[in-house]
Parts: sequence; structure tokens; C-alpha cells
Amino acid sequence: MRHKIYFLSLLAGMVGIAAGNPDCAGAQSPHKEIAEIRDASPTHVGAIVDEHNSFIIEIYKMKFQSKIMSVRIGDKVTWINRDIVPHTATAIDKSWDSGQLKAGEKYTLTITSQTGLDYFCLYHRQMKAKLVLDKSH
Amino acid sequence: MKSYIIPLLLSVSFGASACATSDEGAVAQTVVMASSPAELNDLEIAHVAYTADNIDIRYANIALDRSSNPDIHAFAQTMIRDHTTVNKLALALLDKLGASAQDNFLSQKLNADAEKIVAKLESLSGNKFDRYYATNELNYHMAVNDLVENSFIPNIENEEVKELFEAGLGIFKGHQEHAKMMTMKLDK
Repeated sequence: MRHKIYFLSLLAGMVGIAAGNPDCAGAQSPHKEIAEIRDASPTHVGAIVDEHNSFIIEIYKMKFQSKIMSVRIGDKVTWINRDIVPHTATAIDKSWDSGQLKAGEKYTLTITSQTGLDYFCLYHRQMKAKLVLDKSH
Repeated sequence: MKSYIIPLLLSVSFGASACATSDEGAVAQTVVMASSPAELNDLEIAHVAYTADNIDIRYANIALDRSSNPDIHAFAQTMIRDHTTVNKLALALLDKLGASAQDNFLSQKLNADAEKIVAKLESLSGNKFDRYYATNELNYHMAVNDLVENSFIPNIENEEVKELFEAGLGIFKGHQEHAKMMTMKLDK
């Protein structure tokens, strides 16, 4: 969030300067200037972009291919069924459930502080895995 | 070496599935030595798979009808879901190859043995039914998985048929694990 404010201030400043400068008027579009600012700034590349991560867990050969996955609040986890039979990814505490995932189908979960961490496949109860909540920043 | 072991194993397994619930007595099984599963061609193997799937679907429907145990129901629904899926894919592949599955001695034997298991299942109820069903599922998957892994997959000629059987084997080994969990829970 802090990064966003710095960037927007920088941007506003630059646009303001460009707008107020008779040499700049009409010389370049504001969009091109924004792109140049972003590309030129090594520590702020992608600063507008969400800082959370996205993970993919493949369901394949009757297993959740990552048995343990470390996630933070705000991260997204997507399960993709790569088997020929349907599966689910279902929290043991029932706090989330992908529903039936046929071959090729996927389900995305956004992690919150309430997300149940242990999960299994409702159809194949021997298939178990878990998420681990990383609370560091 | 393989040609007599598999039919023997099959017969023993089908016999064992009845023997495991010792209070009900063993169902007699005949040992068929006439032909070897390893000698079946791709279309006969496909027929055996289709037959084995349908038998398991049949057992599952009996379980949905006769059992009130939620674990048994969940397992039975998975058997129906998964074996129906594999059957659909097998039929689609045969269609694509312009072929039909061929009946054979092993499909006939599986069906004949299944009739005896069905009769047994339909004579039981309550916890006795659940234990018999679960134990039979474990033994049935063990026997069929052994057949698929050791007699079929090494002998299948068509690559796509082989791939489907390899995927199927993975699923059915999962079923075997699930059946094991189910029997252990019933034993408590």
C-alpha cells in the first residue's frame, strides 16, 4: 500500500511538471511517461501489482502433487485436476470446498485467517494434503 | 511361470473374499487353467476391463441399496463415478480405433464369480453386509490390479490402449488403498 502511495505521488508530480512545462505540452502522452517512469525505476517495477502470490497444485495420479504448501493471507491457491476421474479439494473442517472437479477443471481459493488448512478429496479419502500458514511479512 | 499363477491368484482371491468373513463359510471357486490372461489380445483385454468395471459398479449399486453406512456409500459412489468414467474412455478409444471389445474366457469367469458374490451380498444386511462388501472390494481390487499390472499392461500392443490401462491402474490402486482404509475402520 505504501508503495502505491509513493508511486502515485511520483506520478502526480511528474504529470504535473509535464503539464506545467510548455516544452512538454503535447510532446508526449502521459501514458508513455508513466511507462518510462515505471521502467526506469528499478526498485518499483511492478509496484502497482498485487504483492500476493498465486500457486498451482496439480491433482495427478491420485495425489495432491504438493502435500504441503506454505501460503500467506491473501495468496491464491489453484487446484487443477490432471487425472481422468473427478476429484475434489475439500477442507477437513468444511470451510472451503472445490466441488466436483472433472478432468481439466480448476478451483481457486484465496487464503484468509479462517481458511481450513488440512484438506482431502471427498471422493478418494486416502488423498490428503495440507496448507501451512506463513504469518511472516 | 505367470500362466498358472494369475488364474490361481484370481480364484484364491475370489475365494478369500468370502473366507475373510469367517462366520459365513467359504464360496467354492473353480480354478480355470485353460488359457492364460497373458495370451489375450488387446480387444479381449479391453473386454475384461469393461467387464471388471461393470462388476464393480454392480456391487456398488447393491451397497447403495443395502448399506446405511456413510463411508460405504461414499466409497460405492466413487466406484460408480470412476468405473463409469474409465468405461466411457475405453469405449471412446475402441470407437476411435474402429474396433469392438471381444468376449473371452476371462470375462466369462469374472462374470460367473461375480454372480456368487452378488448372491452373497444380497443375503446380508447391516454390519455383516458392510464388512463383506468392504473386504470383497479390497480383494477384488487387489486381484484385478495384479492382473492389469502383470498380465495385461506388459502385453498390450496398442500404445493408446496401454496408456489408458496405465491411467486406470493408478486409479484402481487408489481404490485399493481406500478399500483398505474402509475395512480397517469397520474392524474398530
